[in-house]
Amino acid sequence: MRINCPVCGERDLREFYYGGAALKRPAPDAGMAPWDDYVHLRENPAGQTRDLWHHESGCGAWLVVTRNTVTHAISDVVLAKEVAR
Amino acid sequence: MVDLKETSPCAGLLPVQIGQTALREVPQTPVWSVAPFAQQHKAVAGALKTVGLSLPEAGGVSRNGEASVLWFGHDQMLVTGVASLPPMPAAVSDQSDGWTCVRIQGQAVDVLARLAPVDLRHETGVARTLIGHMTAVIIAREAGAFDVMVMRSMAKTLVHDLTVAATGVAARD
Repeated sequence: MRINCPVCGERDLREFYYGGAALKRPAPDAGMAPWDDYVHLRENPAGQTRDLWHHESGCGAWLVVTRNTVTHAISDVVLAKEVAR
Repeated sequence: MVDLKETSPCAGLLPVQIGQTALREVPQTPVWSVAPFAQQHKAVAGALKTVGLSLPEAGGVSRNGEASVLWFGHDQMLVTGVASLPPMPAAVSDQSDGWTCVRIQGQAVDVLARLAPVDLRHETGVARTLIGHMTAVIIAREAGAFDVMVMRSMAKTLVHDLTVAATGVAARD
């Protein structure tokens, strides 16, 4: 697998570290159910998924990667700080 | 007071010649890590301009004589060969003595192809990547040579990895 880092270009998987599902953080006062969901519950999709990856041996940027777990195709890579804005 | 002797990280390990590949340590210079604060890149560029330097592109280097600014990651750069820096809105730390830099001449691309997961055949700037399991910075130099920077504590590991790779390349000649 190769990830097209927006900063460094296409790089080998060895340079990246998986950072879990890219989820939207609930508001601090959102209550038990949304926080339980955010902390503990994950989808296990056969198809498209959005994950966080850290380019730890490269530029050090956090990335949000959209990929397909069935075909392994990567359709989108953006900087996490741009998603957070 | 004890008079301590200064030794470079690769002292006693380099230089070596293996087949057509030559490894030598690049003499140490002052090294500054510069990480501009948010939205302060222009101000940092202005401050660097006063010492004759400019901000590099991502994956690039800007040089002025002996001094250079290496791109060093996302919103981070390494200024080398400058004794002191003007004040600037950035996190600046002195990392002189923290790094070792090894120059590979000869079959540098073939040697590094055995160690790093990047294609260096067309590399003209700076790549932050791996040498084996060790994070490293690979800098393209003139005439097909490359500089490899790692933390100084990793000097022996770097020399070992490069020596094994160069021996393998030489065995195929």
